[in-house]
Amino acid sequence: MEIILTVNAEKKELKIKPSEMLLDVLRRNGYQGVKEGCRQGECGSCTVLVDGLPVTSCIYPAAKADGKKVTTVEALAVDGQLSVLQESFLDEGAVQCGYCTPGMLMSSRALLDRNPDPEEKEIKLALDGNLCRCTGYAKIIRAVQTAVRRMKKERAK
Amino acid sequence: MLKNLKDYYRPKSLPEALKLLKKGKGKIIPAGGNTALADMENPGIEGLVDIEKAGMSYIKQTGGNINIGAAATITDMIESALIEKFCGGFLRQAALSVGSTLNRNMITVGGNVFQLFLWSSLPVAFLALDAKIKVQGGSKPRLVPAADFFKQLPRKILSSSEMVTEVQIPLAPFKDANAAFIKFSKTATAFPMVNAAVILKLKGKVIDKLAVSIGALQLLPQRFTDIEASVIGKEWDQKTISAIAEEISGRAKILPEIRASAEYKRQVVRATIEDTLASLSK
Repeated sequence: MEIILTVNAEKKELKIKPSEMLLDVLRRNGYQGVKEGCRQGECGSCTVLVDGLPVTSCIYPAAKADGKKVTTVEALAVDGQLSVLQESFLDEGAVQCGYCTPGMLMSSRALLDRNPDPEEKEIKLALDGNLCRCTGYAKIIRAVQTAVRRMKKERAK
Repeated sequence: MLKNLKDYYRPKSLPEALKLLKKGKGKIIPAGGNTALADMENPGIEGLVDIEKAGMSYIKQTGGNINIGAAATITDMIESALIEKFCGGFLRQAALSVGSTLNRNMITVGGNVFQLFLWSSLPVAFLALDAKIKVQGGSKPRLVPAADFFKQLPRKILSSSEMVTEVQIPLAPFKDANAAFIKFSKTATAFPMVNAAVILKLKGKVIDKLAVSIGALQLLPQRFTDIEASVIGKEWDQKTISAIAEEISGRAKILPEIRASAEYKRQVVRATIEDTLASLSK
């Protein structure tokens, strides 16, 4: 079957099998920032945004994405320039092995799109489906807080 | 992964969805958030009916009920002002205890009610609320009381042409009620050891109405209406709270599982019910 969707602001017509998950279709089409982890919707490494909401693409049928807007981690940097959120992750040392990072970034991005000034508990809730086995989360949460401060400054300019 | 899946349907209305189920004779099944598909390997499934666009994503007050469409997601519930206002946010708490944010953006109310995983919190809350589950696709629509719906696995109650389309929660019995939902688990997103839903109405210091249901101990939620009835008219104090918790934990059916022994879980059930009941005194 064929689906028509928007991936990172680009219209795509993709051939898929009805049983395929969005993760596999995205990776096959070059979006390899989307990582495969548990394949059960438990670890969050495959997180993408569908119409602005973060979901685990490993259990999201590709057919369900027909007509929708999908955003992957590849959309965060523009013209080779990392986003404020990505820079904050680097500066705070929120990346260790890096495997969970695309998912962490996408869940954080979804949060900040809806709530530009979240409290710590709101950040924790937004990231509760993204597992990291290296950093212990403290630096990841700090990175989101840093991004919030920097984005506020940018908006104030 | 459904290896023999040939078709993925996206009906624009409920009648269209029901027509597909009827045509499929069990080979075409409804799909809500699809989170159950990850582990599904049934080779007999040839088609999925995605109900997202079939007009069942609502949460609204109709007459004396809150009606929740089967395709409303757990996130829809959490963000609903109607759900937040109802019974001191009791249903919102139950919804927040389901999985993670990522899961909650996908899981539907209909799916949570029908699939019955250990982490399905909504059935526990709906059982305590005497909700009714609307089932359509048979010769006529039927409204099944939660107590009957959760007596056995819902897939045994529904025919292959039927699906859950709505959950109805009566408002009047819970006016001025105090309620709490507590999930006891090792981490916020871990599978619960136990879920407890309690609803209480007092007349002065005396119990006028009490509902207690528990979940995550087996696939079906459990409620003990005889224990509830036996405390009506009793004074609401720590002695009564402890006695209720003791009696329910003693009778709870607990499936053995790898995380903890039944003996440990029984203690957790007692403490969780006691904590949940006590939280209503604050």
